[in-house]
Amino acid sequence: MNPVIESIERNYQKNKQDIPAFLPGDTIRMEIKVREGEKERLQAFEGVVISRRNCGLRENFTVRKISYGVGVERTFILHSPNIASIALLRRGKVARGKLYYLRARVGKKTRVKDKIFSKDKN
Amino acid sequence: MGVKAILGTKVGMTQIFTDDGNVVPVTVISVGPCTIIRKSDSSVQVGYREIRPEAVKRLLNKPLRMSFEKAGVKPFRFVRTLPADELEGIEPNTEINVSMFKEGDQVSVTGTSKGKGFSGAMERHNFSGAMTTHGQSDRARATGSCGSGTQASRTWKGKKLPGQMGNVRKTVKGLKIVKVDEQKNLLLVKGSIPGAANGLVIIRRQA
Repeated sequence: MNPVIESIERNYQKNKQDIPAFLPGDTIRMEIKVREGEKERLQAFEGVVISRRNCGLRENFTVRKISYGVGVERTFILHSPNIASIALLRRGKVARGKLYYLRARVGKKTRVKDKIFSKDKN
Repeated sequence: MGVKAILGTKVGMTQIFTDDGNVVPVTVISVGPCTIIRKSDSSVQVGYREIRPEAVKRLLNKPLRMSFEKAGVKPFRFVRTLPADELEGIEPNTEINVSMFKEGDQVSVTGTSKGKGFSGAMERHNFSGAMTTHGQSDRARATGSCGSGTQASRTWKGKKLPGQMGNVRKTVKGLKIVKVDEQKNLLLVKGSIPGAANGLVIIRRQA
């Protein structure tokens, strides 16, 4: 990328340490700033990360959850100031980078297996 | 008001966040500094992008070289005449830079659009093309009829036909300045501007 543009984008990027390293398959809980007239409040959104696109400042990810039996997906820009916090809840064991196959699944099949780390490896 | 325009180079596009979390698409322009070479009542001639001393002989012939020498300025790659008024304080061999703009100003940007070569009517004029069925072949992207027969017996001037597309001077008006970086001589305007990266652009202040 052009070094001039990179230096501009750096001003708007969040610190890497402030964001947990989550991957597709992981379950995350995030707090989103919502503006209602003058007031601003935080809204939680919890679900499975089904895609993540690395794209510099435009890096974004999609979170899917089932809300009252209806599938809800929201795409967020990672560096957006509207995202107050991201918490990693569970690591998922998945075999691909984009989990769009979850859209076609209902009920128990929508679950993602937990990633279990063996004790031998530290 | 002084000089109303300045020269710059398109760097490229990116997006930035506003304080309330909205995303703004911006074009980054590397602006000036430009040196004033001559001035008249309503315009100034400015030079942009100095030529290295060792390259001067290769890039400029003697008459051009002497014209810079006569004006008492360094030789420049680009020389353009820009609109200006109230020129009391502005003297030749002084610089103008990006600080002539501030956030929220409206500007128009002129550049040379990307060349698309000799393009067909579908790409150049958004013709819809023809059907591929009903016994047709080799006609799917054709221009179609050029006009009526007996009544006109000729093709009207300005008829939309295939031809050179792009690589022409284009102006985009009403662009808003999102940010001015005086240290790095950068200008961020909202939206897109004509031409490819590294192309010369003229940024004009709009009333």
